[in-house]
Amino acid sequence: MNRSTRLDRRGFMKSAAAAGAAIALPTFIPAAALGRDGRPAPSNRIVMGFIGVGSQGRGNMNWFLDKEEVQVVAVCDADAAHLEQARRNVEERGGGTGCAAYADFRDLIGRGDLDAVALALPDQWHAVPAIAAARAGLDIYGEKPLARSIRESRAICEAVLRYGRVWQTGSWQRSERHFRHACELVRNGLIGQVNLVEVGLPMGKTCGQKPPQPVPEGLDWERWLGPAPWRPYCEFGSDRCHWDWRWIMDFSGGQLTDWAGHHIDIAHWGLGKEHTGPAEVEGKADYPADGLWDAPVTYQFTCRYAGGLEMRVASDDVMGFMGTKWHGENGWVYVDRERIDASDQRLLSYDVIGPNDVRLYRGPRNRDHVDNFLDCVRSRQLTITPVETACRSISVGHLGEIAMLTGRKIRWDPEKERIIGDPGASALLGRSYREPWVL
Amino acid sequence: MIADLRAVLFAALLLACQSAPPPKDLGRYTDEESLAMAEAMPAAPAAAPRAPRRLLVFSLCEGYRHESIPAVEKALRIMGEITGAFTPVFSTDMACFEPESLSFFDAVLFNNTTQLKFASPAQRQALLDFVQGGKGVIGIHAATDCFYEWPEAAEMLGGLFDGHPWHAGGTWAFKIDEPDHPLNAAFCGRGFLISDEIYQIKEPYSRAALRVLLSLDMSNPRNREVEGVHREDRDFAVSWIRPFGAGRVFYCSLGHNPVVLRYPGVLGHYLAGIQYALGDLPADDAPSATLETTPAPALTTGPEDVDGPYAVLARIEFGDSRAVLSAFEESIRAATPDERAEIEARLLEVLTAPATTRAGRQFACRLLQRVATPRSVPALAALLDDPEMAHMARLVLHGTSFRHADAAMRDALPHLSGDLRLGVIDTLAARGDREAAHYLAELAAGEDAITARAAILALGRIGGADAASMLSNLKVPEELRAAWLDARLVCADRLRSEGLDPEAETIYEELSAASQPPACRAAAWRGLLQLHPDKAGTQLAALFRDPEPRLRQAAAKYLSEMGARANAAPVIAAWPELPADAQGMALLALAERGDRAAAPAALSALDSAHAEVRLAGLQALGRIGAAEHVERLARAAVLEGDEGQAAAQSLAELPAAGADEAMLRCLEQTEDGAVRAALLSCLVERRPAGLVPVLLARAADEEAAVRLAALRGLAACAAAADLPGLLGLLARVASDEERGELEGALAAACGRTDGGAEAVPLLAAALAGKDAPARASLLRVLGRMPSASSLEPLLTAAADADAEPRAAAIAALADWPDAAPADALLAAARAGTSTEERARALGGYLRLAGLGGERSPQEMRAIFDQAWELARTPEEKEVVIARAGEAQGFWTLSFLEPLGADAAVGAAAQQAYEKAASALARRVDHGAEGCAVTLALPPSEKYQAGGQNALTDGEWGSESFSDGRWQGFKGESLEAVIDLGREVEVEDLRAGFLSDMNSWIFPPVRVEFSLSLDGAVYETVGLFEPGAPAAEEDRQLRDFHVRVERKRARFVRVAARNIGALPDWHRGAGEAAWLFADEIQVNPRFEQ
Repeated sequence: MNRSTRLDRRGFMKSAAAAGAAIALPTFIPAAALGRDGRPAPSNRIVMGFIGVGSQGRGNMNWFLDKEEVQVVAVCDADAAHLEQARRNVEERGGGTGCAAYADFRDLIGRGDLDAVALALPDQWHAVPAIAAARAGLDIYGEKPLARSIRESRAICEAVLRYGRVWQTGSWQRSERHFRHACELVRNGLIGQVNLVEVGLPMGKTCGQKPPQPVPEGLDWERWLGPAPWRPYCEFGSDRCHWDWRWIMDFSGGQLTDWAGHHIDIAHWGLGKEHTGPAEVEGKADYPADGLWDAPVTYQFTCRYAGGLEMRVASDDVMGFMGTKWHGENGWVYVDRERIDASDQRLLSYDVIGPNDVRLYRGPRNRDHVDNFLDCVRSRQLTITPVETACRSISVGHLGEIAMLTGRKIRWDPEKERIIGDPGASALLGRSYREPWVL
Repeated sequence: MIADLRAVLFAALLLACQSAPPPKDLGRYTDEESLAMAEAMPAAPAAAPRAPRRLLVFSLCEGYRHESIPAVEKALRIMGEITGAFTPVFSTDMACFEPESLSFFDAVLFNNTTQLKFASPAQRQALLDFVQGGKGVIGIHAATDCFYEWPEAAEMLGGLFDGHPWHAGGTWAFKIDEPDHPLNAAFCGRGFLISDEIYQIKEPYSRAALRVLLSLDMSNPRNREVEGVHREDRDFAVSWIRPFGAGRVFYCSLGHNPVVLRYPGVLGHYLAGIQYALGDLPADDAPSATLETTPAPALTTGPEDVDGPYAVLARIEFGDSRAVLSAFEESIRAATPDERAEIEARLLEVLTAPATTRAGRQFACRLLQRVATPRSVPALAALLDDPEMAHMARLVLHGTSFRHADAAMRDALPHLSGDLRLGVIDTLAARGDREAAHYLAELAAGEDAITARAAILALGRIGGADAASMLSNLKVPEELRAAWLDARLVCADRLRSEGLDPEAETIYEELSAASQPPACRAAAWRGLLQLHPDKAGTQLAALFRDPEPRLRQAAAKYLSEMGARANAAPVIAAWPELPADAQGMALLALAERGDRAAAPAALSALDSAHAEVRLAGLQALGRIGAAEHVERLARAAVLEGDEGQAAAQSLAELPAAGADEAMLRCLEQTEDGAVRAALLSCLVERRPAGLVPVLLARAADEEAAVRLAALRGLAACAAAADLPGLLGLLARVASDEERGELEGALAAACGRTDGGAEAVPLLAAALAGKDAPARASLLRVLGRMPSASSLEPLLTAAADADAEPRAAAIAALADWPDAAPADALLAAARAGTSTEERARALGGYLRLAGLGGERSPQEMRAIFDQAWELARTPEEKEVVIARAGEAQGFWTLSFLEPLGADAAVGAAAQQAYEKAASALARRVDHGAEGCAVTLALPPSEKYQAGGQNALTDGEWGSESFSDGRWQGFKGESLEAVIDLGREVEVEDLRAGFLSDMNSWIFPPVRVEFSLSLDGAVYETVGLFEPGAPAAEEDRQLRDFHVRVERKRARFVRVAARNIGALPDWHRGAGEAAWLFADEIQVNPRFEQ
């Protein structure tokens, strides 16, 4: 995802609030529970720990720290520099209350005083801490994609549902009004029956080969790798290993899986396919011929859903755009972060969707993606991107990945979540964990 | 089969690219070397020989003798035999160069000859004549190690040996300078790596004389990390051709290691080069330097290696080129089942070979994952006790469909311990291997707690009745209890999904007991609810009353999760008795399900003593409420805070039949103005048909709040057809605020038509007979729709007898998009009765005067002089000054400068002068423009602003850091020395920086300007120490400016200190800050 866009957007919201714009904060908090300083009394705050507080995690944590109802008491990271910086950040912003720092997420989860955790880890590390947190009865804010493989995604779903936890995925586009509007136009049939949806995602990148380097001080490399295959340390990009892991297939599926949780997720939302998946997937990718990064550069695959709906996913060099575009019998609707567009411009007005139309998830107004999680931690309602939704969004990305890796058409049973008649492709549905990590 | 498979891989990897080579007769090559050469040899000539060709292969060494000489001879013999391109004649006898001998040949090939002197002038001349007369010469490897004393021959061959920094033991990267050249066809357009000794070539080597075909790929670090390199241009040609007289020359420095004679690419290149020299293969041989467009070279993409991809794999190291793996991946995708079996076999050989590197074995496993059959299992199983490889073995075994994998892992398990055992346990669990259950149960009861925990969790994942009872019978110590409970829950869920409901229920019953931890109880209850949806409602109602809050929370979660499968009636019935938190959560869950039967509960929630319950009730009504709840919601919508907001949102979104009508009815009936206002706002969001007339009526409501809400609503939905109604309101507005809203509504209604064309005449016509405030309103609305038709009434009104409409018209004209109203504004400036009016008209006039930038500086100056004369009061004068400051022309400086003496507005004039001067300075050229800059540290790769001399390129940056004009320094300070090229008198120094804290770009905390005559001794002439900013500031340009008392200098140094780490108050605290500089200016010229 694009970091700067998000930060800018948030920066804007913050400054708008500071400037006295009419942004009230309707919350579920009873006024009587408010402390004298306007913050909720400590007993009514949501006590949180953060696992992974580097690049994406740092931004996420700052977002939560802006929320008065949140009390951060613990942070965890495999890089001591990030860990210490996060701990100081919390202590300074938390008005002097202490913040514990952990190298091992199990110690954080095992504290016993947390209500929720937020996870921002490389993809190979998504399942183990999430499931541990669910077992411990914690609510979870997790990043997209839900996991590195379909099998892990399902395991997270099962654990979260089993223990009745609240799960929010970092697919924040859902909390943007224009995305919801686009989906509501499609859901309400305003472009007629949809037979095709196109999803454009960023093209991948290549880099040179990099020789092994000494592990930098403070970085616990073995722990950073965790369940992923061992390799010697080298800088993946600009910030040690902390951002550009996402172009290496041991840790991520590249731009495809990085963005599936955004634009494919939105495509599903508009189509109401959030609890199912395609029946067939086929496609092809160009992989970097050499270099450290090995995730696809140019890629395209087509998914066919029961009933004939087709979803085409491709890198933007092939698709010609980023974002989601639904084609119906009577026109089209397109949406991405910057804009919404439609074949019929009249559809763009929000009042096209009335109170008696199909309405998608609406929480209290003026509540952002993190607020939605916090509201649901209290109310126990489903968040705007619950775990099953996240699972189905990334499954499309993972199936596309498998189809492109094998070069074969994949037949998929979305009910049983099995690949039909292709053991070689089925072998790629899960990943073995490097010892000592177990699911 | 093996040969076929190799062909598949070689096609992807190696240096042969014919799709279907003609068959070769390899039968006669019996020794290993000959056979390998013959296999790699092109099957056909690069071009059909036009006559039988005789090639003199001359191998005399007067210096060092290369071991590869016989190999080259052998390869040339085989080449001649297979391709028929020539017949080689081998010799070491100088007599061959006697004229009559030479004439027998079509070309001479110097095979690793060294230190040849050619002492005989006759032989020298014979060779030169031979080539210049139309024959060919070829040099292989050491051929350039000759002719040091014979410049003509060195010239002919194209260069001389100058050491071999790339020694024979190394593997070097080669680029194909011209991938499309016919002599390079055998390389298939791809650079390659080969182990050979490579020469550095010195003069007379020159691309101005030679057509270079192949050279060292210096982008490859391996090639750079050598010693003894002399050439500074890093042009290390490996092969080339040239015409020489009427003849042709081909040289290739490959050929030190005999093994290169087994490379298809090298042999194909030799053949083509020889045939070119023989005159049979036409090829462009114009010197490289004369080509109009330099061809794009093909760089090394991977370790193509004669030994074949499997050998590359076997010795690959982490950090090496991964090209071989990519090629494998591609070939696996394309492989037939037979080929896959072959690949599997070869990969297993690599995997088990003792010399294979760790990386090689790891990559072999990754590839095996794609082709593995049961055949791979033994080799993989053997790795399960190898700490370096166990995970990679499991990577393959993990997803295989065959049960051999489980058996092998089960067999290995008793022999493993520690982490390696954990890994196998996890993989068996993931595979659901039920046969492993018994042994896992033993481990689960074992001493080692970590192993026991993994085994317990594995039993849960494997599931089934056996695993369930093993887990039930297990006695676990306290530290394993959490894992044990989780495993049993997982197991029970699995049993349930397999239809073994009674077994599952037993476990759920046990684990839902009050003695169990809350998280476990909650999960067990979920299982029970799912098993008996018919009882779920009653059980949920009970759970909502549980003393344990986590169970109450779980009840809410499961109530919504189960949807229609769970009957909500018992929960609704029990609702009044629930604890407050449960009441709130239950209502929201019921609303999420759309249970309209819960509406009465939601309604009664509004009277709860608990705010959270009231809020939940309001939110729930928005989902499950009905028309009858409108009135109650409307009353709540006027509350302050969360509840009012929730009520308003629920009203706006209420999806109920008759809701709109109920709201309209309520609007009529309620006596509370605040309620009417709230209802109006909600109705505007709902947009029911026929809303505008209601709004028009309510715009005349007795309550101001209602009128305002109605007017805002009209702005949101009135259209041109509603204009008469809106105009009718003009006479009725009761406050400036309402007037403003009404004007907004009028403008919006006009705007909803074709840009107002239809609406403007209506508005203009309405002016007649209206009172002054109404006329002013209409004029303001007209001003928002500038067009020819709206200009007319505004011009007329600019002379209106009443001040208010006159001021409105002048204000509208002052903002006009073109200069049409300029004269009217000037007239108004003259005629105005108040200073505000005159100032506004004057300002507008001057703004319009500058539009389009078409007036000359003289004309502009005259207009401003005239305006200055006209300005009477300080307010008016300040307007003139302000406009001059914005006017962007050098004339503004001479206009503003004398005004600095004005008693009333001198300070403003000075300020405007500074601002104008600084803005102009950003566009003028300056004394250092184009001068050389030396930077102590280079800028970041991303922000170079075009490179070395960007700071003196005359290009100022904008406020956008990514406009390509900013040099960025991450965490580092800037120290730039500018060499002005000669001594000059320095008077004025400026340096420009950017402050964009949101993008982590901070202004310098210290800036020092110094001057020097000699570049060694500097004198500081300006020092700024603004220090670290204490808070975020808006994005801005930060320039530092020094006036110097005429000082002679040739060198200017600017040292700007980066703040270093982002300050504590910044969201990136502790990270490296950026310093961005765009230009350093010396003596900018302010000329008109």
